Amino acid sequence: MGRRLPHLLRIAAGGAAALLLANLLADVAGLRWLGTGDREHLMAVQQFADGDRDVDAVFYGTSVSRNAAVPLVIEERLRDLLGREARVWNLGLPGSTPEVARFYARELFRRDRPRLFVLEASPFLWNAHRVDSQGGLTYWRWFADPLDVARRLPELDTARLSAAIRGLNHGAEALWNLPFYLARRPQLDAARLENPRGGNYDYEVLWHEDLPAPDERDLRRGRRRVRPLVLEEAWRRVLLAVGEECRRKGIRLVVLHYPKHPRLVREFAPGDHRRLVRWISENTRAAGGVFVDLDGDPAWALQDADFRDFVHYSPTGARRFSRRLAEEILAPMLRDD
Amino acid sequence: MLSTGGLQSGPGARSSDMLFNSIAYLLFFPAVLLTDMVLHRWPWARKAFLLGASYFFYANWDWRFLGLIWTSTIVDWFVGRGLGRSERPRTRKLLLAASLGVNLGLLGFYKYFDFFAESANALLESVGLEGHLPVLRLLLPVGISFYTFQTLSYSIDIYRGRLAPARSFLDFALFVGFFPQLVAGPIVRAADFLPQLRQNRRARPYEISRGLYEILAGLIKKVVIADVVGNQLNRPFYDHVGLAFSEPTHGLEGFGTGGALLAIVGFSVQIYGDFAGYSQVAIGTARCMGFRLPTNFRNPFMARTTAELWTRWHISLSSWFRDYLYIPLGGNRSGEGRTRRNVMLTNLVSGLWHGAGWNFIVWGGLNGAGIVWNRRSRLRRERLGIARRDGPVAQACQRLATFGYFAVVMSIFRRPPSASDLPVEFQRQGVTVTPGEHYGGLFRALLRFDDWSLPAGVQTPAVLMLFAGLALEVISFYRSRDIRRAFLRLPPEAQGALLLLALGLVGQMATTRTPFIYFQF
Repeated sequence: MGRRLPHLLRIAAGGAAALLLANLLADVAGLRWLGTGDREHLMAVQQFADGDRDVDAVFYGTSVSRNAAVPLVIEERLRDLLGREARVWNLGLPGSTPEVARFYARELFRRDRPRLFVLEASPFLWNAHRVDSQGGLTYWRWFADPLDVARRLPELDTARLSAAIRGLNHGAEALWNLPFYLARRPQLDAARLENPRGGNYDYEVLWHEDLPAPDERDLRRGRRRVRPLVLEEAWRRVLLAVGEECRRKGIRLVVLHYPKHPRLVREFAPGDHRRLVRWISENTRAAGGVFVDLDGDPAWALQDADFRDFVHYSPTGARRFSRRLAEEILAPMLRDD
Repeated sequence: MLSTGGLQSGPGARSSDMLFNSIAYLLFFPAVLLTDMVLHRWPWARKAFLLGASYFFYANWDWRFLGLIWTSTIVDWFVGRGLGRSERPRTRKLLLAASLGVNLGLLGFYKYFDFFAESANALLESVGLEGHLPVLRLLLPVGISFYTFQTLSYSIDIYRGRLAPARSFLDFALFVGFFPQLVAGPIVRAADFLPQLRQNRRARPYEISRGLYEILAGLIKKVVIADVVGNQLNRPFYDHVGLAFSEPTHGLEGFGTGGALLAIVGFSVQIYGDFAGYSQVAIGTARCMGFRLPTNFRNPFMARTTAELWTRWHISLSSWFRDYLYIPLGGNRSGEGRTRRNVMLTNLVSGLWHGAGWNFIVWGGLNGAGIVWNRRSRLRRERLGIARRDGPVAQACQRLATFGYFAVVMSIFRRPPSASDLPVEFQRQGVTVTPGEHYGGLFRALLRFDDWSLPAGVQTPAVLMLFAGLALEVISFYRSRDIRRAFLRLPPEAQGALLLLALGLVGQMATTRTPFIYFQF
């Protein structure tokens, strides 16, 4: 190998030093999340992890729960109902996967902090088909540390491994992104205000399309395409692991089925939603959690005006839902706790 | 499969594909490099390992097509040996015909069968007959156009007595299958590569640094310039421009002269960044292991004539066509008329090499016309005794005119969008864009001479990257060596730090993994 290996090693050493320095600089200067459209939410995750105040509830899920649970409204109602300060975090990430829930439970949660972990029960979070989306890589791109990557290397596919390796070099990426971010900041802020739901799904198309409910004959003939629903063992294990972590840390696990727009049900094959609800309720029980099915309760049915589209709540709908959720579900649980 | 932005057909990227811009390659290459270093003392083992790694690299796309590489390798190995032994002209001709028949047969069948069948059916139908030639919808094997040309040049060179047959089958197989250049060139000549294998060359430390520098520079061209311009500027424009003029509901805003100019320049910058970037990564990869591949691009946008541009663009292919088609046709030795014919024929065939489509043939024809025009002007100047203007302003004008012609012609290279590239509402209505609507829309937009706004969906960073790409071309024309030398003079630790930062830039811009355009050729 002669002089070649020492030369290569010196190049690698320089690269490693630059990597550590850039990551340190990005973390100290608060640039870590610059490269992501979900910057605010990732920063919230960081703030939650760094804080030491008591926390009553953490919501986690995809953009469904991110849009539905409004922390300020819930905190206000809980304060009135419990007669003390309440603190609620919504750490939902659009398009993300249950792996992030396991990460929260394992790495971010501490004994009794939070008191409730409210996990979303929707096909968007638990559908294995969603793993290939960018959001499905959130954990590996943003949260996985080198040890976790090394430990779980055999189970990583190329996409996750790519995301993990990119994540390791986040400091250098953030430094490059800084000028672009600064140049585009006004537009980004304006776009975020205008479109707070983010761009993780093409809802506009659904909104303008008046689809009839699919029936079995249409599906057999291939006339209607439906959203696939794949429930897999890996996610079941994640749910059980989340339950185990919560039990160990004295946290109550609540798996919440948010009221859906009836149109959303029709976008899946007949019976898929029932299959999902059965799967989640059984596994939540096995995980030691509580399954709350508000979608199956007619008293919780929402109006068209409460939805922004067939999946997300409108601001008015979200506030109304959050108030009621605090009053009827969260406050009694926190009192019991 | 990712769309190649209107350049549909051919292989796209799957998550398992080992593209140069993939993490899989980032893991594969260091492993190969280190093993290559360890095995260097045992040349046979080293070559066998590199050959195995090359086949593994190729099998990532589709292992079934390895059979085609092996066929081409074995046939030309035996043809080469036969040519080396035989003195009889008839036998030698037969052997050469076997090589041409197998290589061009494979290429013709996989790449052109459907095109000719469809064209023949259309021709028959246009004269009132029924066309029944079957269309097979064959998958194009990645790299077939490149490795068949390499093996052909080997057999032809031996036939002409310019090259001795390879002594070792392993050397020859590695020459055909060496992974850095296997799927998209540069097209390597046996006379350049086989001696390097015989010498068992190894990289000196500075060559490793140089190779890594080339790899990162290539990745920046591809990921930071070509992909950003391609995805954020060209795609929104080219996917919609046909609809803008054919579908009244689409709206014309942004599809005017400003948008068309940017998109026309943008596509040239995209395809240059994409292909030159690929070549640079290939050259850098080989360099790290001690092998030298030929330069494939030499600042083509700084050429002052179309003829000069084609000596700077895809050099390994241009020189292949020069040596194995243009010169055998007679080159410029048989009068001006024959020379022009030879130029046109060579460029038409080069167009067809790039793809089985009429747009590629028209593209080749227009390039040939540009070269013929240059030649005519030069001869006219010589006849009238007019000296060529060489002042800085004249040079700038010549470069601008050459680039302008190249860019407009290159926009024909890009095919109309497929149905799946169109907006969802048009897909649902079953709308498709015909070549007439696509190219008609493009040139109508260009010639509107109004509306300098950008079409919806075109993003500002892409426009910045477009100008950054052009600026880089000018800087590298004047300062490329200085920059490289400055990098190579740094201590290895500083080189590593800079490479890491450059990798961060590549990672930051790599929002989607876009396959290399030339993979489909």
